[in-house]
Amino acid sequence: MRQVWILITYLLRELLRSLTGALVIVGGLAFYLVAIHSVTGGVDRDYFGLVIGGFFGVVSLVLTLIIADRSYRSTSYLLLYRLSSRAIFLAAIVLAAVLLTGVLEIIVAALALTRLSGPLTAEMALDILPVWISLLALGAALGLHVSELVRRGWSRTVAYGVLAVVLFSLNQRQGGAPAGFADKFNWIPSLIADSERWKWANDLVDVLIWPIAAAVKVARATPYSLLESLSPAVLLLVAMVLFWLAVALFGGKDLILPES
Amino acid sequence: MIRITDLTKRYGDVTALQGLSLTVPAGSIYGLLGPNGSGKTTLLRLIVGYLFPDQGCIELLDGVRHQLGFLPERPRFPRRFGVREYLVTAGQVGSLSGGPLARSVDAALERTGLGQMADWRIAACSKGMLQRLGLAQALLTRPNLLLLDEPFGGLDPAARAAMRHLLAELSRAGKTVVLSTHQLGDVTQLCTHIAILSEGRLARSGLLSEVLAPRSRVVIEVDRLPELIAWQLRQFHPGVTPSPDGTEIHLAEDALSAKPAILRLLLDARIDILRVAEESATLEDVYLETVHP
Repeated sequence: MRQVWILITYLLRELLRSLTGALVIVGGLAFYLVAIHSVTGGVDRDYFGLVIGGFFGVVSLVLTLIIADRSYRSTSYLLLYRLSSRAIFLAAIVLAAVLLTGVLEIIVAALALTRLSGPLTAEMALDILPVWISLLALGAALGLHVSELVRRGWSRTVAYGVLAVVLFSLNQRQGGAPAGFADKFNWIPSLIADSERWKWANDLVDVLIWPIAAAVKVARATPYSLLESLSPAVLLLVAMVLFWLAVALFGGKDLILPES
Repeated sequence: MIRITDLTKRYGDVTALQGLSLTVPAGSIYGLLGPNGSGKTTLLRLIVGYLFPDQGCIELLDGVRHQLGFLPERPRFPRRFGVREYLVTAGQVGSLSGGPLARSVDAALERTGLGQMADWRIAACSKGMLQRLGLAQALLTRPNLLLLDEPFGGLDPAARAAMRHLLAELSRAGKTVVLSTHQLGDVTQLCTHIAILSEGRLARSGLLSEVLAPRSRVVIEVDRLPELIAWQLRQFHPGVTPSPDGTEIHLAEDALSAKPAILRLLLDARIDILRVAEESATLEDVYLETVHP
C-alpha cells in the first residue's frame, strides 16, 4: 500500500508540473464556467447530479488515459523493476486519476452549490454521491483499457468498440437522436432492434448499459427500485473486473517502452 | 547467482535470443559482449523481468529478485524533478524510508560523484550526469545483483575510470555485476567472466583469463619482405599472414608449428629479422574471431 501511495504522489507531481496538468485544472474550471455558472436561473437537482457526475466520469477516463500514456515511457523502467507486482503500478495510475478527478469534482460541486435552485438535502447527497464515485471508478478502469500501456493485441480496439456501443445505445434509449453524419447509420440499431435474429445482441446491449441507465435514474429526482439502487455497486464491481482484466493484460506484457 | 537455461526470445518473426544457456557466478563481474542486435539488451531485460521468454527459464538464486539494481542503456528520468527528489522517490518505491533512505541517497550521490548536483533539476543534467544518476538509483537499495546496460555510454574518460573503480569496489564487496558493453578495454580491465553473443546465440563464454590465456600469436618483424617470399610464407599455413607493408609476419596460434620453417626460409633468403615476439591475443582478437569467424 505504501508503494501505491508513493507512486500516486510521483505520478501526480509528474503530471501537475507539466502543461498537460495545468490544462486539466483549467479544463475543470472552464467546465464550471460554461456548464454551471452560465446557466440562467441556476441548476436543478437532475442537472447537478447528472452533468457533474457524467462530466467527471469522462474526465476520470481521460485523466487515466493521460497518466497511463505518460507512464508508457522509459522513465517508468527505473520504478517498475522495484515493484513486486505490476498491479501496484496500475493501481497507482487509477487511484492518481480518481484522486485528482475527485478533488476537481468536489471543487466544481462546491462552486455549483451556489447555483443550485433549492437546498442540497442529505437524501439527495446520498443518492448522488455513490453514483459519482462509481462513475469515477468506471471511467478510470475504462481509461486503462484504452491506453497503450495496457493494450495487448486487439484489446484496445475491443475496448473502444464496447465503449462506442454503450454510449450509442445509451443515447438511443435515452431518446437522444444522433445528428449529422451519424444519421446515415440509424438503420443499424433499427435493424438490430427490429430483427428477431439479432435479439440476443439487443439483450446483451441492454445488460451492458443497465447499470449506467439505472445509476442515471438513481441520480435523478425520479423514483427508483431497490434493484436500481444497487446500480452504483454494480458499476463498482464492473470497474473492479475491468481493473483485474487490465492487470492480467499488463502483467503478461513485454515492456518495450518508448524513450521520448 | 543467475542460471539461464535454453532461453529463447522472439519479437514477431525476429529471433533475438536462441537457446541461450549460461551461469553467472556470485561475486563475478560478467561482461556481455556482442555486436548490435546480438541480444545483450534483450537478455538483461529478460533478467529484470520487463520481457517474458518464449522458451527456457531464468533462475535468480539466493532470492535476489527483489535485491537487484538496474541501469538501462539510456536512462530517462522525469525532467521536472530534482536529482535528490528523484532518488528519494526511487528509494521509497524500493521500500526504504526515514534514516536509512536519507543515508542511502547521500551514499549513492557521493559514490557517483553527484553530491554537488543533488539539488539540480534533472533537466539541467548532462548526458554523463544522467548516466551517473542512473547508476545512483541502481545502487540505492544496496543490491546484491547489478544489471548494467552500456554503463560506460556517455561518460568522459575520468568518469569511466571512476565507474570502473566503483564496479571493482562493488565486486570486492561481494556484489555480482552483469554489464553489457562494446568497450573491450573496460571489459579487459574489469570483468572476471565474459560471454560473447552473436545473432542471439552464445558464441563463447567463461573466465576472462581462460578465454584469453590459450590464445597466443607470434609476430616476426623484418626489414623488408619481397613479394615472392610473402607468397611462399602464405603457402606454409593459412594462419601465416604477412602484413601489407611487408614489415611484419603474423603467426596465428594454430600456425605456431610453422615458426622454425619460416625463420629458416627468411634466413636463407637473407632477410634481416629485427624481432620475434610472442604476443597474447587481445580481447579484440577473440571478439573479432568469434563474431566474424
